Amino acid sequence: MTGQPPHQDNPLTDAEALNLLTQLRQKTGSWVDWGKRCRRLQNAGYTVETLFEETGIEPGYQNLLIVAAQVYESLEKENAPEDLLAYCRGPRSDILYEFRVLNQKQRLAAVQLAQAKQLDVDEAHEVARAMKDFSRYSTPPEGFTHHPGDAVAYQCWKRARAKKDLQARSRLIAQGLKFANSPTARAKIEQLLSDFTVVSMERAPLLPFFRLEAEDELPRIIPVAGSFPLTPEQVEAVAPLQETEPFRIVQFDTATQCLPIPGWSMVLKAADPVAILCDTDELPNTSGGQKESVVVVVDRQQREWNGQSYFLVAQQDRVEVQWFPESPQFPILGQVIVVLRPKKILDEGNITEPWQMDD
Amino acid sequence: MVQANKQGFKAGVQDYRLTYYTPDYTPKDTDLLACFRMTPQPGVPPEEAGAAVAAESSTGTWTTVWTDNLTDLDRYKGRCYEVEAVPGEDNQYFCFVAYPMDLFEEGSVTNILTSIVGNVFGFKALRALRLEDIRFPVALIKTFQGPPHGITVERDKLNKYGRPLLGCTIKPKLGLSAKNYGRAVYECLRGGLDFTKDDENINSQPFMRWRDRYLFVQEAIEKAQAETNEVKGHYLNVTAPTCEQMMERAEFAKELGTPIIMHDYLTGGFTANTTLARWCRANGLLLHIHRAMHAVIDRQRNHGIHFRVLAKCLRLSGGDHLHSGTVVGKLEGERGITMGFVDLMREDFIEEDRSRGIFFTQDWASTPGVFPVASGGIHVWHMPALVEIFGDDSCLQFGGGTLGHPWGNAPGATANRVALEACVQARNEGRSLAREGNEVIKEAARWSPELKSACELWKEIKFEFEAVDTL
Repeated sequence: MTGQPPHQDNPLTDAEALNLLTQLRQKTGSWVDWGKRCRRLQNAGYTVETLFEETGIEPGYQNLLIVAAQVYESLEKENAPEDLLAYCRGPRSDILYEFRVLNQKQRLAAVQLAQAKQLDVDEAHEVARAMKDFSRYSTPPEGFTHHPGDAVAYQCWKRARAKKDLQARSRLIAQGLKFANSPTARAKIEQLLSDFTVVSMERAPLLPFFRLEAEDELPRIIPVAGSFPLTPEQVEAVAPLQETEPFRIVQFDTATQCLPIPGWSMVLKAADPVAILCDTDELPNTSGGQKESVVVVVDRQQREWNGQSYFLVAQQDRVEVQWFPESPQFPILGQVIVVLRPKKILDEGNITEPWQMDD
Repeated sequence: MVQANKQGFKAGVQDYRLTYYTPDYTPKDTDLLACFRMTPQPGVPPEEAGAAVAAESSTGTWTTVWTDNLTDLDRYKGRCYEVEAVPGEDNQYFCFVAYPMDLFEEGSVTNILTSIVGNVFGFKALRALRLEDIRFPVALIKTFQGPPHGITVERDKLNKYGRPLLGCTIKPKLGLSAKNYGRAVYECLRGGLDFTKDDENINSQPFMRWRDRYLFVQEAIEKAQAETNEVKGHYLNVTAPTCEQMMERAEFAKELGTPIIMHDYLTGGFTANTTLARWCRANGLLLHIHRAMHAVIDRQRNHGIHFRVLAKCLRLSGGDHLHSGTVVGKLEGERGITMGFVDLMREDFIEEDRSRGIFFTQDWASTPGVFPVASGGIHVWHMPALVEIFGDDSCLQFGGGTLGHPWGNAPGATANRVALEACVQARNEGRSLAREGNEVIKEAARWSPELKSACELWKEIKFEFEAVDTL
């Protein structure tokens, strides 16, 4: 299985094959002829190993010759001048091989550049890559043309602009100037010579900007009604706070106590929240455990009973947190949003020391 | 040499930047350079965060210690020499750190990673931290063996030149008996593929023990080679619970005469991988590397390690092939990033190019190249794009694109081989695969019924990589 279409070439007679093998063994003609002969023999069923044994041409080199000869043929189809073809036969099979990734027109332009600049194979590799990248732009970058020299110059210009190391930058500028073809491309690169913004100077530190990314990064300020025991009037008397976005600024009397609660969604959703301080043993359904102080956040606007929530209710002259299986007889003062426990950490000082970590 | 500290020991916590932020420092050729993407906690100055990263990944700790006086810190400390805001991103900064080469053991990727990313990602003062790129100095690179063979030698061993290699992962991933598995391998190889592959999680499960799989697969390889007169291979996964078992499997594969084995380098670990790569060079086996678990490490945009770093580490640790993604179905920017690390895998000298995510110029100093493996979700219509984008030195793995062929495995393999050779031939003749790719496939389908059938099954794609309007 070779994946090649059947009957691509006429099969060779034994005499023809022997003649081709002899010519390859004796290296007659140019490398272009060698490539064409290798291809004819391979298409006729001669394996790369057989050709290697018969001619001494390594399989990898056979491939290079065959592909480079195809590139050469495409130059002929583009009516390349004889001096250019002679340069290619020179031998420059390795350079033509690098241009295999280009289309016919690009190949001609690339070879002309290789001849003009006397490129070696590594430079030809760079030219092919630069042209390939450049061809993806629907319009060339400002100041650069479609000429292959400008394509390489553009790569150098782009990289030089990003370099802060002056030595590396100078090397890229020199390389760009070597390849730049159009006066505008040359001017663009020359501009870099007088651009000293990259030279390091004493710099001010960066301003500590921080973009808020989530709602809960800003707390909500909530008024505190006081600690249990409280009367219904004391709860009702707390004035709601008005927030000003985007930083949730609030204004309140000096006498008002306030509490920051993380801006979790249910806290932000509360229309008229108020905080109450109490101990856990003053709350219903707390199953034993150690007594601790907590904050109960109540939304005073949620006064409609439901069986899934706890409510703050007025029982005579006191308020209590209760759960009811059905709508209660007592006036509901608000729905409990969250009950906050204080943080419980082994070494609290560790929190304020951000650089401590496990070794 | 230990320097006497003139000021004496001052106990306590000091700002990291006093010691480790050195914006005037010019990195040396022998320094290992790293670029981190930092997201500091609100109010933490980026310079202090950068200095802390440099410190904690080199000589520093959170408080001054008396033994600092016994060390030449100036010689051994990492230096944060540049901090810059990430363009277009809030709260993120690139921090560049230079590490003296003496901080690292020669030839040990494990040690480099333990030093640079071992502890520092746990800093509370940082919300997130990502290692974007590393520049390995040539002097350090020369202490590594690198890939067992590399692209050039692999081609010589396989006798295959001038085109990408073709492969296929045998499916279903798990559950086939060893005998049926061998049969699927034979059909794919006979049909025209160069390689077939164990899935990454095929090791030695109850339904198919490794020794049985190896035997049936090797039989399949030899049969296919005899019929096609080509070198064939199957990536025999030698990943195992212990290094000893891994080596036992590799030794058995060698005894059978198989040309290539495989390792899951991230789940297996760099120490095991380096051991295996050195053994592969000494014993003449090629080494295919799978990157299972990479997304755990590289997927988040602001935390973890970018795959280009994992790829560079693999090139040092050793592997002849490495999975690199297909580019198919990706955005233009991601394509550039992918091709950036593909270049890092196979080129010898890669220039800094931020547009492709390459933060440092990297000289590999003749370390052999690694074949990038494009695998998954590709079929015959993708062939022109893959040849155009990846070029010759790549391995294209058509799993579903082979085994899903309506006529079976062998015709599926034939369809892919015909499509590949048609594309390479057309490109060598100077035709533009970007413009004429689909036409090239259709022309080949006229004489190949297997390809014609594949073309009818899978949908023609539009090759959209040609024009870029924004720079």
